[in-house]
Amino acid sequence: MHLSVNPNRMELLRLRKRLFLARRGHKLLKDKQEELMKRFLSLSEESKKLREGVEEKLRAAYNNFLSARGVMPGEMLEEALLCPGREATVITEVVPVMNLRLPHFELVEEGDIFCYGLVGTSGNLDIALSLFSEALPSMMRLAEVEQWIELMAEEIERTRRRVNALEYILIPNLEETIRSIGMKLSERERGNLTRLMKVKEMVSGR
Amino acid sequence: MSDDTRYAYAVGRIRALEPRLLDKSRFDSLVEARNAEEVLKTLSDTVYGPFLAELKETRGFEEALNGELKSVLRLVSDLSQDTELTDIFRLRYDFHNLKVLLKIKGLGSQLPSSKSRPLIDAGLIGPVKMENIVEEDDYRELPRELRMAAEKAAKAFRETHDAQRIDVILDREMYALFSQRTRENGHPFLREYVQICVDLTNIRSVLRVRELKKDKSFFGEVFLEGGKLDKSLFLKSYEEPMNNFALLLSATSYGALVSEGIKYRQEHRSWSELERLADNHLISFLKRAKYIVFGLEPIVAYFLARENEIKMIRMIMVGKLNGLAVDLLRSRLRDVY
Repeated sequence: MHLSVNPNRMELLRLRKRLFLARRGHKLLKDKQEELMKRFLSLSEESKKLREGVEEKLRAAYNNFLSARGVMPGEMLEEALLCPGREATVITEVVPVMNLRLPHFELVEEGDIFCYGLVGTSGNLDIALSLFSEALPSMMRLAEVEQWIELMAEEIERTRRRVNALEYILIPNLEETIRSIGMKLSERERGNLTRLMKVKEMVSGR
Repeated sequence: MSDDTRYAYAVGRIRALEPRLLDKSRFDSLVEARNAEEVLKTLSDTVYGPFLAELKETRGFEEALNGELKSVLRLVSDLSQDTELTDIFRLRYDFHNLKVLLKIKGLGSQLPSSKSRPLIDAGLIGPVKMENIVEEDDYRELPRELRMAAEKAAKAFRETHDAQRIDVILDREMYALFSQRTRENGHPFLREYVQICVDLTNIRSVLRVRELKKDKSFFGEVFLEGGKLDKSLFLKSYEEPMNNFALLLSATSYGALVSEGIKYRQEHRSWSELERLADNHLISFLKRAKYIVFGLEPIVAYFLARENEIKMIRMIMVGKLNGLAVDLLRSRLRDVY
């Protein structure tokens, strides 16, 4: 589509500069999109593996917890877990990656997970708690990676729209406008030349 | 003790109640039930019926089980002529309540509200009274052994701020009390029962402690005195593979259950089989009471059989509520008395 600008030399120079900038921007954005896609794919793979691992661990942990719950009266299970021995703190920070502000979680655990007596408690409770404890860091990483994937997907979408806008709208429009201004200027140039020749003819005929 | 005619009426009553214990086929039908509601429906014509009728929702099934447990405990107290001995079954709940209350006290500001405290009203001391005793830190109203245990646990917590110490000390004191009572009263059946319980607990403890990668000294703390197996036996193979421990026990009556339990643990990462076999071992011991004409044994065995039954119902209900496979549930069922 032709842009509505005055067809003069100054505008032509301005548009040429804009075209040069748009092409440079397009290349940069295209590179960014490719890099984002590369990271997105590797993160998706990592997330898939993490999720499978976490689900496997949680399934085993819940099965063991159920076994323990089955052989222990509710009150005794609650008593065993009344004073948790381990304290977990999550430290959050923001990591800048390619114009994105990605969250990063760090898990700090202190104390012993095993906080109850051995009489009247099931051995499966120990296994369940160990499995839950093993699953926690992977769950934190999974939460982080899934959030990254979500943010990256949004960024990829945004970048793709920009790249497309540049590639299919702005750059063709600029090129067309530049061509049309060029043609108009040449036309004007030719008109001037013809007029000059006519004037010269009239002057020499007198 | 087998001709203790003081128990003529009591044993008669127990023998009349024994047929009402759930048998293997009843448990099979409970396991086969489609869901938890069907399990409760199947139980409605058993001794659990009256308690289940009061149930408002399926998930509250433990109330019905606790109701039956309390009624059996009352029966045992009524029929027993040796309350010193039969009180040990109620004292377990006092020790449990003490653990809960001492831990809650230790938690300070994070007190759960009174209603949600996991107390069991089946001990010698009512939960409200126990609550006041612990709150005021004045244990004089408790029976002597309970008082000493409570003071020891409270002191240890004050010094270490480690809630696990409360459990460890009270568990040790509880079994010391059981061993002492059964030894002093010269009752061979109950004495042997406590010894087997201690041994089975120690066996499970050593395997669990090893798996948790705790050192020998921690096992020394949780080890219960009063069993048939000596502490040195447990410590001998502490650093060696678990199978060596099973070999060490192969000459004892626990050999088979330990090796089977360890094998299952290595294949499935679960102690379920060891726990099931340990419970079966106790039940097979209790079956001796069937041949005793007069005495405390049938009463004790009946109570423990009911407790085992309640445990199995709980297991089936928890399994059904959480969609556990029928085969898995069946494999975890204990023997019946």
